[in-house]
Amino acid sequence: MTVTEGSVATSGPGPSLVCLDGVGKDFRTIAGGSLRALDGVDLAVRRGEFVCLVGASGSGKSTLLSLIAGLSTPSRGTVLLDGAPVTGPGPDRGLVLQSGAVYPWRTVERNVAFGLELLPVSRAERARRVAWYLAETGLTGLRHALPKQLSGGQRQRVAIARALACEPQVLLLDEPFGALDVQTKEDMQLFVRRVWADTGTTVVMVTHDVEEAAFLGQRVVVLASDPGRVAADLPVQLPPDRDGAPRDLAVKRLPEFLALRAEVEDQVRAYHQRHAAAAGSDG
Amino acid sequence: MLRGFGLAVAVSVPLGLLMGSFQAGRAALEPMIGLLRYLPASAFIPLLIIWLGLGEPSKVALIFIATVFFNTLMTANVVRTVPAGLIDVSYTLGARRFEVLRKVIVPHSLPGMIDSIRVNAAAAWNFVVVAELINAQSGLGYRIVRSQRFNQLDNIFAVLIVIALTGVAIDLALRTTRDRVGRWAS
Repeated sequence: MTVTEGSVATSGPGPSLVCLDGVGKDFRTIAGGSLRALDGVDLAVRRGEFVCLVGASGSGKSTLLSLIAGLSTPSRGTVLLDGAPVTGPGPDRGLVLQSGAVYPWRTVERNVAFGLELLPVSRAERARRVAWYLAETGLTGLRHALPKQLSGGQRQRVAIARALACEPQVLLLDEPFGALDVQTKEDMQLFVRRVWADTGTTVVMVTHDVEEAAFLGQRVVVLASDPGRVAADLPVQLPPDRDGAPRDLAVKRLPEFLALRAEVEDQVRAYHQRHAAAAGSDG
Repeated sequence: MLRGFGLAVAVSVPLGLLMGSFQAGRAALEPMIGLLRYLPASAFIPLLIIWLGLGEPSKVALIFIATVFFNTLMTANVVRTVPAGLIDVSYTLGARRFEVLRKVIVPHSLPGMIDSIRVNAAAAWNFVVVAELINAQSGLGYRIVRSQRFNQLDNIFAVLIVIALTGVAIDLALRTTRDRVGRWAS
């Protein structure tokens, strides 16, 4: 069923950092029944990789991310981080939500420092790291601002800087740019791509924007709905990646990009339509 | 008033935090407090006079009873408005339960908590006067009762104005505090 299932674990260097094996997640419904959000999900993410998960709503993509984050536990299967089972949330897996969820009473600087305040790092080291990540995310000039004074894109930068300051093994992005306007969104895409290249952090990003997934990811994993499962795992091979030059927005006009985008869209649509048809016949 | 209401705040804020943050705290406390809240505080006055006599302790107790349950429930409601995402993210940044409470839930709820204290301060102030109407040898309520006996209506109005002005002053002080603490809120 998975297009490149065999190649995922074997291709490329390094062992997998995040590994999901036969993962399922059920939710209890109000009526007392059980809802299968995810079923039989196998997914391996290598260290340093940028993986995008796409799927229609109801495909359990956010659920998948919260399982990796350790905010919920799988009903079936195992979630491994660097070979060890995930037992709960921790600063080795940074999470950024669509809402940003920055602390409104803390300045930008103190938001970024939050995780470091909880880690055994010296005051000097904390200040040094905060300054570095503020500079990396272009927030140095805003370090004393309160979140209410920031734009949506700036708030997401704060959330990303805050997660990165703990120097996590993997950065989990849950539709981080879903609430932004198109121009800001493109700025943020370039920004996150640059941060990924600079820091070498592994990134797993959930999005419903197919173009965004194809532009950012080295791999696009398509999730099918009801129950959520891996429908396709598509490698992204675009020219700038081969040349090693930083990817820019012009890529989005290349025929290879458009073909990939169309392929992902077809996959998402196929599973969405089947799901919608099933839902229609049920109701 | 200060002692009775101070005590009520000191008790209700931790209880409200417990109820608002933990399912177990809610399950344990809400049914009881929901029930106690409906008992009118003035109905306790005879009991309090019998148990504590005419004087300061029974007034303190009355104000405590009149405000503690409301303030607990209102605090719990404020605590429940902390966005789930904020709490989830805090856990992924390495915070443990107690740290989430101290570094996320409390600061986020602080302005709302002061708001509910403001509302209940008004109730506390009402009960100061109620308490003095019935059992006191001095104070504003006592002055009203005495003025009634001697038919001094002008005195009663004077006392009412004093009561109103004091109430406004308390409210203003709390509102200023709230605005200062909640400067970050948009």
